[in-house]
Amino acid sequence: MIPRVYLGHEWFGAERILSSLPPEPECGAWVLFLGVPRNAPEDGGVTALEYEAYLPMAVKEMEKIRREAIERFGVKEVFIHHRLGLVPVGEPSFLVLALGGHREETFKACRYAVDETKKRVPIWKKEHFSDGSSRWVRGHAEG
Amino acid sequence: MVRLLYFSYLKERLKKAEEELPFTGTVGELRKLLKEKYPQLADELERVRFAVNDEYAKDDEPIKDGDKIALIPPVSGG
Repeated sequence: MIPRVYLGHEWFGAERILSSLPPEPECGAWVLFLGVPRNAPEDGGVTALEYEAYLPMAVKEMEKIRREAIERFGVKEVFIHHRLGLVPVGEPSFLVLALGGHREETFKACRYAVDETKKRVPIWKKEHFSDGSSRWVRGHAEG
Repeated sequence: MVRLLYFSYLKERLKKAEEELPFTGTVGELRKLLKEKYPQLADELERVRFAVNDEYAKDDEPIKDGDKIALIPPVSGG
């Protein structure tokens, strides 16, 4: 069975997660978010992102966020997956999938899980550039 | 003794992932002590969030012998 919360070097991918799910007759809305390392002109030649985490705490926070998203918005299921290690530009590194009765609460649950993961989960990324240099991304400080 | 864990650029700048220190007091007092011990990282240490035994902790929370303290620089997952 594919875990609901996953943080590690493997990547299950949206297709495998979707095809592993049993029919959900009560879920009229499935919302999928993928976060993908990018290199736009203003990003300065990024070739890959490298993710590091404080694993035990990060997984605990991700599990809390999953439960909060389900309870607050009354959706049926939420998956939160995040990759670690080097992820080249163009390959997904972050996935949230929410299944709910209707689109309203399901969009909200998905958005909540994405935002809270980015705010709270102890994961850090380093940008790798085409000239061989790299630098840690300065995250947002949260009280 | 408390065990301190460092990540991301803190780990790189300190050139170590963890250390042990004799300490009892509050999170805020530990922050102050570390700023004195590593003045070159004072700004970074001001921005760090502390987690005591894998739970985020505010500056007035107590730390006791044997606790595991993670220094969490502003996170940047996603």
